[in-house]
Parts: sequence; C-alpha cells; structure tokens
Amino acid sequence: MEIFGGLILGFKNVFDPHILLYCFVGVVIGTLVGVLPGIGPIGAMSILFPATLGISPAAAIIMLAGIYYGAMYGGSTTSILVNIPGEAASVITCLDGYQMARKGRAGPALGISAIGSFIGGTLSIVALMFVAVPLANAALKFGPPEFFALMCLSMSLISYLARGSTFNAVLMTVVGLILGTVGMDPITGFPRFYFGSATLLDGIGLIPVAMGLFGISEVLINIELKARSVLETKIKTILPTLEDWKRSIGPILRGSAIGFFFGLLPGGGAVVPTFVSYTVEKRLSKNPQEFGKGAIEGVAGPETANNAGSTGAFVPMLALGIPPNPILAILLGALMIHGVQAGPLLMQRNPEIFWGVIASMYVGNIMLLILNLPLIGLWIKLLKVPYRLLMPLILLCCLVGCYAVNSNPAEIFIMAVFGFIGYILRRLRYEPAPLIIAMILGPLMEANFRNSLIMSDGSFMIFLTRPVSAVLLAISAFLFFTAGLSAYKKTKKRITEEFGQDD
Amino acid sequence: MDSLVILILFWLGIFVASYSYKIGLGKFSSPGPGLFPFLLGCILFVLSLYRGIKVLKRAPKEEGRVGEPVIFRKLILLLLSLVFYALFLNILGYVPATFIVLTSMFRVAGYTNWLKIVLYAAIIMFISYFVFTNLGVKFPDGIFRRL
Repeated sequence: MEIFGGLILGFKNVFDPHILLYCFVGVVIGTLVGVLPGIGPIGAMSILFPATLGISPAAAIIMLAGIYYGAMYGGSTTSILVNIPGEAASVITCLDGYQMARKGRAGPALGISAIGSFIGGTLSIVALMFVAVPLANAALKFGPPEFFALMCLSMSLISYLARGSTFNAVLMTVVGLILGTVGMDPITGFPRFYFGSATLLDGIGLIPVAMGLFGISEVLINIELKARSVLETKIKTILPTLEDWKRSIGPILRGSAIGFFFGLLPGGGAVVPTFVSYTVEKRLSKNPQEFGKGAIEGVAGPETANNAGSTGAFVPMLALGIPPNPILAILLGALMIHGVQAGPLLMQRNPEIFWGVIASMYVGNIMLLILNLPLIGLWIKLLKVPYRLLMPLILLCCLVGCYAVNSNPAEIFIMAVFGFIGYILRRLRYEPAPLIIAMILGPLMEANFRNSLIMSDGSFMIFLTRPVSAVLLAISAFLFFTAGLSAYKKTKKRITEEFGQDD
Repeated sequence: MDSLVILILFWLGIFVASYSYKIGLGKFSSPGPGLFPFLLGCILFVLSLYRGIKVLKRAPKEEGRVGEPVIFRKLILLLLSLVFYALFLNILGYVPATFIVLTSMFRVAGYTNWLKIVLYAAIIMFISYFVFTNLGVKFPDGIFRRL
C-alpha cells in the first residue's frame, strides 16, 4: 500500500504545471545532447546545474533526471544515422543500427529503439518502486560500519565493471577519495590540503571537476573530429513491420531485465547492459551471422537495456544515497546543494522528491516517445550543425555554468585543470568515472569509517563482527582478488577488443 | 606518458601520506583528521610503486601518442583561453572577457574568416548574456563598473 500511496503523491506533484515544464525541458535537453556528439549527459547536467539552484529541489532533480534518460533516447539517433554514438550507451547500436540505415531501414531502426526505450524505461520504473522501497527500509537499520562496508563494495564494483584495466580504475578510485579529503575534515572541521586557498577550504567542487573531466575533456578530444556525413536517407515510416515486432519483442523484454539488473550495480549504469544485451541476443539468435549486418534484434535489445539501466541506477541513489555512476553522482550533488540528504531517510523525510522523481519518469517516458517518433526529422536536422560552431557554444556553457554555482572564477581554473587531466586520462585509457564517484563518496566514507572506530573504541573488528558489514566486505575482497584472475581478464580483454573502450 | 602519470601518482601518494601524518593521525579510538588521508596516501604509494616496477620491467614499446602537433597547439590554446577567462572575468567583466574567449575559440575551432569570427563571437556573447542573466546568473561588471 505504501507504494501506491507514494505514487499517488508523486503524480500529484508531477502534474503541477511548473514541475511538468521542468520535466519537459529536461527530456528535450536530454534528447538534444543525446543527438549531438561532443556533449554527453554529464556535461549537459553540469552545465544546467546552476540553473536549478533557484528552483525547488524536486523540480531540479526531476529536470536533471530527465536529461539522463532523455539522452538515452537521443543517443540512438546518431548511432543509426551517422554511425557515431551520441553518447557511450549507444556505441553498440552503431553495429546494427547503421547497417539497417544503409539498407534503407533507418525508420524502423529509429522506431524500434524509441519504442524499446519506452518499454524498457517503463518496466524498470515499476521494478524500481518495488526494489527501492524495501531496500531503503532495510538500510534504515544500517549503522556506520554497514555504510562504510557498502561504500567499499560500491567502489570495488565500480572498479570491477569499469571498461579497460581494473588496476587503473582502482588507482582512479584512490585518487578520487584523496580529492574528497580536500577542505574541512567532516568530523572536526579541521582544514586539510587547502594551501591557503579559500576556494579549496570548502572542498573541491563537484561541478568544476565533473565539467572538466567530462565536458571540457570531451571537447579537447573532439578537436580532432572530422566533419560528419549524415546518411541521406528518406525515412518513409518509423513504424516497425509485424515481422520486426516479432523479432524484437524478445530482445526488448530481455533487454529490460538485463538493463535494470546492471543498472542497480555500482559501475553498471547504462553502458554495460548494452554490451551484455547484445551478446545475449547474438547467442540466442537463430541467425547470429546477421548481427553486425543490420539485425533488428541488435538495435532493440541494447537500446532497451540502456534505458532500463539508466532507470535501475536510481535505486541505489534513492534508497541508499550511493550513486552508481557519475551521472547519479551529479544528481546526488544537486540534492546535497539543496540541503536534501539522499539515502534511506529520503523516502520518509522528502517523500515529494522520492516519489516525484519516480512519477516524473513515467510522464517523461511518454513525453520522450511523443518527442522522438514524430519529431525525428527535426533531430536529424540538428545533426547537420557543424561541430566547429557547437564547440565554442559548449565551452561557453561550461564556463558560465561553472562560474554561476558560486560566482567564483577560481572554479573555472579548477575546471580547466581537470579538463586537461581528463584529456590525458582518456588518452591513456584511464576511466574518469571511478574518480568522480569516489570523490563524492569520500567524505561520507571517511565519516562512517571514523565513527565506526569511535564506536568500537579503536577496534577494526567492528567491521567483521557485524554480519551485514562482514558480508559486504567479504564480497568486495572477493571481487578485488578475482579481478586478477586470468579468466576474468580474458573475458574483459575480449569485450574490450570486440567493442572498443572509447566513450 | 603512462610512466609519467604513474610517477606523478607515486609522488602524490608520498605527499598525501606525509602531509596527513603532520596534521595528526590521532588514535584508532579517536581518529584525527590525518588518519583517513594517510591510509589513502599509503595505498596510492603502494599501488603506484607496484605499477611503476611493472612498467619499468616491461620492454619499452610504442608510447601513447598525445596527438599531432597541430592538435596539440589547439589544445594548449583552448586551455589557455579557459585560464584567461578564470583570471580576467572579474577584472574585465562578462562582456569583454567572453568576447575575447569566444573569438579565440572560434579561431581554434577552425574558422579562418576574421569577420565571421568576430560576428559570431559578438552575437553569441549578447545572446548568452541575456539568456544567462534571465536565468538568474549574476555576472561581474568589470571595467563597466564605473559607467
């Protein structure tokens, strides 16, 4: 009953004209950044972040969330028509989506990815409600040792699932945790690593770092981008045929389940499930040789999975206060700036936010379906905007966005530094995602670590004698050690070779 | 390039550990502000040392290429424009600082016609000023303060 009562409250909130407007703006911008290569949802969310400071926390989160799942819809368009993924979760769609477009079937490819996204998104919201509520209730009983263990587990998972080398991901996690210690000590307020700078005394801001690592570095990488050629194809109908439907319904349903499950895992997000879904569909298919040559299953499965994954990722954020990927880290940062504490208490203290976000996803998914199916022509036109015109615009938005959070030009400098760091890291195939998640979780992890030690009067056994924390730590240790096993390395290498690891 | 990153991380680990040691580790029963970063510094030190030894042992192979000289020049120019903006936004104010930075960005982006560059930069600067101030962003007046 709790769920239905909550959902009714959520819908009441969402149907406020203001909130509806913000939800709409979010999904439109999401689709836009999904379509435009060179700016991903993280960049867009951090750019728009300052604009959310003046509105209610519920409206802010609903808009930012809309950008996230909206980008998953938009990302498929460029994959199918230009063979360039609009964002990382649509990399796989290029394989068969572009081939379908070359065979003159761009319409059904775009259609099935929008419809699949809608089904995957909606099924995941239902699952989200039924998983997040009991999880939050269970987490209410957690003390500092359990939270510390939970964060250890999230970080191990993030490193374990990161594309590229696990060792590099662990390095990035440690660097992120260190960056999180800059500024005042979370317990005593003692200033650390601030080198006399008033800006650093408040800690390194999430927004300048996120914009630098994901916005600026993306622009720097894209300086080399050559002009894109949009496939000149007449799109007669976007509606898939009966045969297409028959072939797609299985992948869509499996993609929803795979997406939701991997979305739950820290480090899973929306990218990993697309790879898994593609592999599963290829294995199950009677004609695996068609994959890579325009099989509709190869579009329907992964496109469903990325939407289901982006929705599933809200579970750990809403229920536990742990962001499983950088996008949710920004959402968490937005909540914090508004003075809202995410975590198990969110559902009780701020039900309007918790249920508002969930209800807004139902509404947002319907808006996206409407936006994407008839308006596809408009999005295609946008693809023709040259990057050299877009680039200064993206950079200007980053500059203003970064400045506006605290009206502090020093943060622009931090953004530039992290832009350069992000560029080098991407070039050397280090994942920036673990760094940013560790940075935002760092202070919480430290506070829980120290409080646990104070509770136990200095004994580390407290982490092992409490059953929940012992189990969580055992799983993290298991992941950490198996990451070195050759079987795991081989699989990871094969996946990297098959699909590439670039964003 | 990879070994340079490892070397930086190695020194970062040493620096963090020694700095945290100085600000006080406290006792396990009442941990001081330095304890957590000290542990992190030690972990970073050990991990980068391990990685460094592996890199040294490996036969030198093709280095990760940072880019062609032309692209590298563009990269530096872009980063310099960002730093310029950070330094001069408060002094010059939004309008002149943004105009200068946009001009350099359009040039870096590949536009060669200066008339076009100046025109685009001016248009975007004015539109962005109105959009952002309407969104509630307050910009510094800079040199226009006295006007």
